[in-house]
Amino acid sequence: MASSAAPAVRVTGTVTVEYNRFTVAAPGASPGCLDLPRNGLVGAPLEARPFEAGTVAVIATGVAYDEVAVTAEVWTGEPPALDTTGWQDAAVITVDWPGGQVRLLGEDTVPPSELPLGGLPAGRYRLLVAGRHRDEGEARSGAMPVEEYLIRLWPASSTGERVLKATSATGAMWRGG
Amino acid sequence: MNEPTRRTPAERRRPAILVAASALILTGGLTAVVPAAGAATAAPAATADAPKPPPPTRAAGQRVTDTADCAPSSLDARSAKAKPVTDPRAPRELRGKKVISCVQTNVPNASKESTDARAAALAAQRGQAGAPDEETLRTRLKAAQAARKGDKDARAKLADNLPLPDWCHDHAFDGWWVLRTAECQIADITVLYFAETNGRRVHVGTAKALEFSYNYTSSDIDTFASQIRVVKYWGERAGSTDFFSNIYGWSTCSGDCKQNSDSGLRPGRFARDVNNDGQAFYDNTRTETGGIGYATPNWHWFVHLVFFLPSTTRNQPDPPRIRCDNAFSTDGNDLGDPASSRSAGVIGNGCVVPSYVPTWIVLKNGLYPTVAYHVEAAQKSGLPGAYPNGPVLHRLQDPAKKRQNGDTACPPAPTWVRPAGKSCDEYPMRSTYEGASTAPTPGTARSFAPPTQNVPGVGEWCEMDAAWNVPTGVTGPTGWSSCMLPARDNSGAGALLGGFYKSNRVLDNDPFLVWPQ
Repeated sequence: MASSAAPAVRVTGTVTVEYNRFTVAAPGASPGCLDLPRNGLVGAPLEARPFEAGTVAVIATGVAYDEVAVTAEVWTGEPPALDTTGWQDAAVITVDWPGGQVRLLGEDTVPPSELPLGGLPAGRYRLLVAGRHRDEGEARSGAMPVEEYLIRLWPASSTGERVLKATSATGAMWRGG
Repeated sequence: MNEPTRRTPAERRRPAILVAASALILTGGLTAVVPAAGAATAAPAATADAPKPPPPTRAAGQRVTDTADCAPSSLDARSAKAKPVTDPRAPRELRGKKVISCVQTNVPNASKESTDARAAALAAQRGQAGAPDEETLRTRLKAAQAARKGDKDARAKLADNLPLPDWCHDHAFDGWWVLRTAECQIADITVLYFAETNGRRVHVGTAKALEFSYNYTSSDIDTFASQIRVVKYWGERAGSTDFFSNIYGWSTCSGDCKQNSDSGLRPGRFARDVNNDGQAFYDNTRTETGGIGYATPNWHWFVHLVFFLPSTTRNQPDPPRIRCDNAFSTDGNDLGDPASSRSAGVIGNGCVVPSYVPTWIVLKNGLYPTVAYHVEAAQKSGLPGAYPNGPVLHRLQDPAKKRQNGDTACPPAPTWVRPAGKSCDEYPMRSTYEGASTAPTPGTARSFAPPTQNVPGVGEWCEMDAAWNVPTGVTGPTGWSSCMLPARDNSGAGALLGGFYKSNRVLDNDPFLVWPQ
């Protein structure tokens, strides 16, 4: 598939995470996921659980109950290769999207912490996640750096998980190292 | 790309969401990760020992024995409306007399014969194989939903009544007993027959039946079931007649429920050892985002000896109400206008029995042992939430208050710099009203130190910097405890708690307990 020049949708905002994770969710899904990604950054749930229906991917974080900054992009075709300079970790997985509004979901409060990304037709997509400032502690305040993520979604032409970079201690910790 | 800056507390209090989740206003004042009829936490399959799920509890405030229908005034009123029997099929001794009846619940049996007959009937029912597991119940509820939409094959899946779980039989004749997604009772029903001449009323017969009632829900399906079986187990004189003896039954529901289906009682023969079975299904009507509804299903039945008047109607006493909600669902509608937001579909809806207090089980030999040890020590030092006696904890879903709890019990860096690989755990959890900041009675901090927190095979599970001046050896019911635990344990257990809340539909301010095992 030919590369696209720019994303069709770009959203920036924050998500308040809980238990060191936030999720990519379809309509009707509740926040949370029991699983942490095996690569320490992003992964699909390991089991289909009824109360997690609609949870498509989980992203692990260094902070436990703090905000993370997110830039999320939806591309109509494969984006240019990511320049991983300046990112600690980056990985790409494939997700099967059921259709509907995409949201990033954080803590399970009322209201929940969520960042909507717009509608996406059902289908198979590549999900790229890159993260930085993951190691500055699980609970931060004041002028301490904000943990940050880049998320990209585009229709899949290839499958298979790819780890582009894995340098953070946080990623190593969640991988079990 | 600019570095994002941290928001000030004032900025943080404005919700960081682009969707108006104002539609999610909770008016409410509601498994574990492994599906179970109770509320055990999940342990993914790797855990060594299976958790012990907490047992069913008895519904509060119910009257188990009821003889009011047979009180003289009640019989008099009935007699005033009765007409003498003229049917030529009636026994000779009853012709020309008024015959009335009344219904009693759970009165002791008068004879050894009826007592033995009851025991035999119970044993026969208990002996039925295949008490339902959660997957069976979910399949049924989904089939009821599909049948309502016209799926004819789905209706066939609902043909036979389900056998009752063992715990129902354990509490026979003691009213309604409940779990988070089930309620059950076994009742002993007596039908008394009286004949009257010249104002004199004589008892002319008795029939006795067992009534098995079983309502079940699923925490992620917004249709629930109400099942009944009535089986006559004994009769004498007028009550012993099995011929021309019929039973009729129907189901109703009061509250936020709409009938999906009602099979009535089939085959409808009130004769010894004939199972008269009924299944009714009800759909939740509060499916709007944030909706919370309450429903009470009841079965009603009467028996009819063809040449008598029908008996009075047995109205099942109210079971504990069932609560269905869509409070967990975020509908993904970025218009944010409640009037235009539509239900996200059944994924977000589910039903539970809210009067059953669910218990989150944490395992000392599970995947995240240090959290279990911390909870155990915290509860032993007097902090609330301990199974079985509590006091209960209440779930908190306000983001600002959760943050205050967390910041009080576990101040962020640079105040408390975490040891490498560790994160701060607090008890009661920040997601409860009993947390460090929101607790109704303010308290102080505590922690735990060797030797009490050095466990063979686990090690020192609570690490705290002495410079933080958090005292150890503190006891009492107010305050909170803090411990630095391995981050993997803390995060994993936290996610299990989130799963427990969802699989038990624990809504804001719902009570629950925590049980370290």
